[in-house]
Amino acid sequence: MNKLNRHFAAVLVVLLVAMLFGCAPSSKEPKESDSTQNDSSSSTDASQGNEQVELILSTIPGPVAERLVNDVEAFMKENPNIKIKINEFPEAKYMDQGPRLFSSSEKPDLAWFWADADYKKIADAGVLEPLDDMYQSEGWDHVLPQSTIDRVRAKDGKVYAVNTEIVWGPVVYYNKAAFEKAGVDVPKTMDEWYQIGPKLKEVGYIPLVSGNADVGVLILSGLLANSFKPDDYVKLTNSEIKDPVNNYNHEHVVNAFDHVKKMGDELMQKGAAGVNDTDARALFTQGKAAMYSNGSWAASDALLGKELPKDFQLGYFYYPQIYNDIPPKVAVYAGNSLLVMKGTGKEQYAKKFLTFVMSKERQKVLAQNKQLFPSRIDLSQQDIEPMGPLYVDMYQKMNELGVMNFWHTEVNSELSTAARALVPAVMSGQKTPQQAAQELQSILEKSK
Amino acid sequence: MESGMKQMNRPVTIAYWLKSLWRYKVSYLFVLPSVVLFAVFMVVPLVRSFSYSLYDWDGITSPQFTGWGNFEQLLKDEYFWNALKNNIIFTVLTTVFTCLFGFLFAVAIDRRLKGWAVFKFTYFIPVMISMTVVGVLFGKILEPSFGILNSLFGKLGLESLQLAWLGDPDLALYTIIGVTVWQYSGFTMLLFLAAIEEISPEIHDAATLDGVSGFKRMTQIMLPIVKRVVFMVIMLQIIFSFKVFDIVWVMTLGGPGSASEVLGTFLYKTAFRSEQFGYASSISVVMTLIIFTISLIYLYFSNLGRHEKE
Amino acid sequence: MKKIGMVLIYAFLWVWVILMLAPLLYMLLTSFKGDQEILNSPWTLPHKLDFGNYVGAWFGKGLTDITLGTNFLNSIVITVSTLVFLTLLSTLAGYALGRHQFPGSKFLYIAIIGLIAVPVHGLLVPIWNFMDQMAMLNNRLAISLIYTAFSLPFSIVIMRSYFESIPTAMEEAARIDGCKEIGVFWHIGLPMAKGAVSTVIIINVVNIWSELLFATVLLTKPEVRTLPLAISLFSQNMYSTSFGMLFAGLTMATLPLLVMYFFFQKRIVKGMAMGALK
Repeated sequence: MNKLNRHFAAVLVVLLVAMLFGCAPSSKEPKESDSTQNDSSSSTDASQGNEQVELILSTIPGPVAERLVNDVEAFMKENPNIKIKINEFPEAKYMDQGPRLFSSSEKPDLAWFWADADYKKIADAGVLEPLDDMYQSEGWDHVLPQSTIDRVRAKDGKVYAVNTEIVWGPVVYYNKAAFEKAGVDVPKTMDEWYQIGPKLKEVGYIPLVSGNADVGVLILSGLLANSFKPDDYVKLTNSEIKDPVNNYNHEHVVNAFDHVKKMGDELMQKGAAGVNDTDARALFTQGKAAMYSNGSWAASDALLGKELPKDFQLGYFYYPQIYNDIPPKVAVYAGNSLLVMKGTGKEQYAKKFLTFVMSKERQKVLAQNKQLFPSRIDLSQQDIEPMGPLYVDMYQKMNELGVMNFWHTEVNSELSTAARALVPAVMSGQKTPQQAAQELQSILEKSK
Repeated sequence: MESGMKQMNRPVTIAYWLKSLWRYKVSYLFVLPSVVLFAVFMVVPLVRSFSYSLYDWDGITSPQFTGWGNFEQLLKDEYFWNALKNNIIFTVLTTVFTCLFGFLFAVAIDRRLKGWAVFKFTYFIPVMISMTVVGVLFGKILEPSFGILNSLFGKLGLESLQLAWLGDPDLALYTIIGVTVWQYSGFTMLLFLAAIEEISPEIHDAATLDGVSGFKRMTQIMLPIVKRVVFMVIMLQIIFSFKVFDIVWVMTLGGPGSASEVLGTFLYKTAFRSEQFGYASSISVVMTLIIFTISLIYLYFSNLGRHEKE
Repeated sequence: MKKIGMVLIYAFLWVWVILMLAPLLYMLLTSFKGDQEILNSPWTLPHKLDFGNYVGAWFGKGLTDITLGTNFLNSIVITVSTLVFLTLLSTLAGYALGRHQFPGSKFLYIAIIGLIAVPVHGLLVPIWNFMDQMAMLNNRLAISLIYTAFSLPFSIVIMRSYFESIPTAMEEAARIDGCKEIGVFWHIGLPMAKGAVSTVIIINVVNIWSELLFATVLLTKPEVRTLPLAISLFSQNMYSTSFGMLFAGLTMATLPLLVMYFFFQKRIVKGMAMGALK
């Protein structure tokens, strides 16, 4: 290399090193001067009055989106000066990129999102509009359970989201005709569950299918909910207290993974570890599988409701008992929420939409549309009935059994991400149950 | 043109620099737009991401400086080594087979074997299909219970071949390799073909006169002539397959578990699922360094950097 | 002995032809089937050419008033502009690197090869931040430039090696006649490179057209989304078991590229042949 090239190299290296140390990452806390707007939107911005306003609402597809479409259409009829556009994102990408999106220059005005760890981060970062005044003025603090309200509280004590529907699970949906054919009943214990496997296989069904590749962690959550008494469970799921007994070294956790493996081996089809939820559900709706494990949302009209043939007899049961002294429970999630972004200049309109969605009337309509279950607890039996006998029965049974939070929505994202991979790993034999439990334990110990 | 060399003895001052800039202004102008784009969209982000690797950052809250912490953690991370191992297997096998098949196809077409036009047309079609489409399509084809591949085996009575192509941790990676080879053999074929077709007919005539048979002709006559292109294609394949992300992500998400995890998917998951940008950036650094080193080694041994007028 | 060898070789070649076409045929046929038909009789031809799946896929679920037509247009705009930039910039740079001797050329060339090494999805976050700061998210020109930058290194390598290998006679003549460098390039170098340009285009067009990662992250508004991105919305989410529509969507995403291939195919033949004839 002649001298000139060497000089080039030197200058370049110096520049690069300078950039390296000059370019530290910056936190996403928005500055005071952050008041962005829909530059490409054609509507004029109105601070109040009857001028045309356009809002953008971001969400995931499926039952959530379909419900929001219904609400948006009804809302726009009542409020002709407000136009709401819905922006759909694929679920996985939305989960990954959502927080970034909400603090960027292209943020929506409203968003549906999960009130989990990521939500807390953006709430703490000041990206969202506080809703405390609305909880009082709209009376939400009376119609939502206290635990639900506390879940959306940020470090500063304010609340920045409102829960719009509840989901629960895991739920095992089954084909009644298949059960009849095989002469089996709904299992009440894990052992019984394994026993009906061979009988279903005999009459030509895959006993159980589930989206192990993408939502396998639901199975783990369900098993864990049935492996610990409520108080112990709370200690387990709280990643901040590192309880000496109720942690992942507990033998019930190892047993839970044992069951994961056993379910895969005895009840599911070959290669089940790699199957995603859509393919699993297809096997069920096409009559090739007798049971399908997912959550309450699968019963909605956007999913099983429209995918099953008319003459299909659909039944369900919750995960059966594992230990004699621990009655089975159902895990519930009240984190599906609507958020309002701060600094758009249209917060009041966005809030208007929130009021609309959370109103008793709309929540009744939600029940009528059979998409998701309303979050307000002041609805009567009559109001809920339109959801259909299956859904209503599921709700009642859930309350009978008692509820706990989903494991994977309670713990920090490192644990839940690891678990997402561990379930298929254990099912396919890459890791032993002991190894899986150990891994969760070491993540817990390393976390802050 | 030895002008560059001649000036080696002159003192290298700023004036000298400016003079060179002016003298070769046209050349610099030609490369300027490209350099600008590189700087803005590749070099600066790259350096930025390198600097992220020195921090502990979740993307939203304030970052914390950790120096080499991420790299230390990386070396101890069994998932990293697993991904690296899978990546190497993927790279080696994909490169070997795409280049092998591509070369064979190219020779077959060049030598005008019967049906060569069909070959030429067909083999390249998979290349024109996006990786995502290929991934989703094969995902459905390889589905263990109702995919057409397994049901075909069933019809032929080959039940033992009805494997869980993407669900079996021992198979998943190799299945993906197979699909990649399916897709890209036509790509290497095209590049090889361009080079092979340049071999003048006289050489072939001479070989025919001497009675050199097909196989010998291919390996002892054609191969040496196109050696340079072969080296380049192999290097490109190594680089591209090392960076693989899309096809693995769509087909298995790196699973089941982490059976088919490669560095690209590991990087994405770390950055966006576990929210550890600093750590993810360190993976990015390592990947870049590895590929860069491979290319340098390769260049050195194949002398591609020189201006050869052969 | 030789005969068996030849038979094996032909078998190998033709098996590959079938292997390469079969999955595509499957995709096409399935896109016309109803869902029940797909799982129960995967092998038969569809009962009828039911375009219902295509209609369903094209008009989506009606959530946004953006039809796939708009997305298609976006894809075309982005892809074409990227290809135009790419052709221009890579031929310019390739020509300079392959033909001119100037200080730093070797260094630059090595640096460019180094850039091929960069795993671009590692750049997602910095680029997002940068675009966000410049308020250039959802800007189709910006994403076009990004794609150009990503595709340039490899394309420059191709162009350079092409320019290196063709004789300089005509250019020398032009220079002697008093043509300036740019003129030499424009009137002589560029026309001669048609074959290589076709190669560059064909090699890059698929990646640009179907690029998903950056498109998902940088194009958040439905009206600027590309076609493959829009289609991935219902192939990558968990909420649709309608395989027929999925396959229809896949076919629609593939067709434009295949059509391009059919057109350019002849060009490549000519280009390569021209190179061979020197």
